Amino acid sequence: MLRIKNLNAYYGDVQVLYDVNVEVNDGEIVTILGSNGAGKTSLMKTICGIETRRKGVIEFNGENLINLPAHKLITRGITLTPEGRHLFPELTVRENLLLGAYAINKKINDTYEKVLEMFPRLKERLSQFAGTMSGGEQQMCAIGRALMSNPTFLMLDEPSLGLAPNIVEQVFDIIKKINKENGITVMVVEQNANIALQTADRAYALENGEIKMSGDAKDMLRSPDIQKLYLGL
Amino acid sequence: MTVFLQSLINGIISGSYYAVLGIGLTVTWGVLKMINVAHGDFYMLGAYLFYTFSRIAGLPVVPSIIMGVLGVFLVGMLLQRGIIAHALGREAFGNSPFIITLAIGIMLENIAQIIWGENNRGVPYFNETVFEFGGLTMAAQRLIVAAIAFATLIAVMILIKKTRFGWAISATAQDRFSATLMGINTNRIYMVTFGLAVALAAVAGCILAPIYGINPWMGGSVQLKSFVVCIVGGLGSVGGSIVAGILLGIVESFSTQFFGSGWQNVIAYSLVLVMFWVRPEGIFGKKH
Repeated sequence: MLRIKNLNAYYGDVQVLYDVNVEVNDGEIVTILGSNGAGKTSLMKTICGIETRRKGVIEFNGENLINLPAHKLITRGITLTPEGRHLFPELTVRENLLLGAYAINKKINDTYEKVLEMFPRLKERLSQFAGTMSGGEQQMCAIGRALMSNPTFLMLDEPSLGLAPNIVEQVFDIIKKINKENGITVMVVEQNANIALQTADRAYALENGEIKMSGDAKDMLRSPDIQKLYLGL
Repeated sequence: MTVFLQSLINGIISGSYYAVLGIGLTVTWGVLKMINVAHGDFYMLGAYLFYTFSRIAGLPVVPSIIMGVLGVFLVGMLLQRGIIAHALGREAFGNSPFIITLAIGIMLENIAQIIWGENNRGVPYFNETVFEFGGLTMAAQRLIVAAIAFATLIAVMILIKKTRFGWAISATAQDRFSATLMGINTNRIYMVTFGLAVALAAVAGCILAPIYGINPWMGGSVQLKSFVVCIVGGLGSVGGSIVAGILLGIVESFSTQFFGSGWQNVIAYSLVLVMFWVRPEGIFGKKH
């Protein structure tokens, strides 16, 4: 589905990604691990075409997206829930969700109902300003908003950030459910390697802007290097 | 009592167009995160275009206003896309929109001077009637000004709160990155928002031209008043600008009544100083 080949990215003159190669197949959950500053968020933003200057190939269902403006990405079926969630704080939950379908011209009532069914908490808070909700609810709203465009490929950047452990588990359960029941391919960037590896099918480890390791998530979970670097064992 | 009522009505009328002017500036700040110091010059340009369509081309008043406002809308979008957008994208150019709009303002004033000359130009009142009612006098022109100003304010509120495009503007203002992810072309939102903001200044320019006359430098005082409205209302707050605009109009009107017109501006700008002191974020502003 997604094939990233020799991707290089720069902030001004500073290079942040070096010849990154990542592949995501239809129906998979792939996770990108990495410590702080490894380039995980830069990778996400570069795939979207935001902030960085980029070189290489980003092939999605056969189309090279390298010259696609960022706001067109959603029309190809790709959405990102960014690090820190980036909801529109002074719009209501309902408006946030509807903006998720801004680029979609088709009728969205069914999708809207489905999203509310998946996140009953949001249904109770439709007319509340998104910025006034708790972190967990905001993450649900961010994921719900991303689903409003009926994506085939969902990227999540640090969905566990700042959430209590039991909420983190809920979030990852939802990610699994989205993947299994809705058939959406998922790429998730995480610092919490433990839960990410338990959820994912395959994993990549990103350090200093380079892919250092990749493989089956279950194998990675047992790899001594990964355990030492990311699991604190 | 009559004096009080007359001052109040005069204040609300001036306040209505202060609000229209202030909203333009505050929206520019809220969405594009820049200060437009040429706002008053777009007000001037609107008045001149109106003058050209109605006095020189001989069109009726309403189409002349519409074409004048539309003309400024297009000029604003063109300048945003052609000049300002390039500065906004560069981090090292932190204050450049300020300098660039200053230059645009000077340019517009000089172009106006070349095209229309430096003499005052006038357009007749839309309606010469003067109403008298229980000791109150009111020129129909001023009522027309207030009616158009309030209609414009309502239209702006509906656009922002109720339309898809308005949501896109709010989203872009609150989080440009996220708005892009939603598929909103934020460059286009920037361009259209700037055009709409200066078109609001042009609305005020057209409807006030019969009262204040037209010259290339008429934008200066309007620019300052717009700043006052923005700061008192809270930068970026549309509702705040409406309240602050009307408040400014009333304060000015009463100060003219009781202290003489020489004190009008002193009182208006004191309002800003008091605001900075008591509530620096403005009436409806957010604390940062």
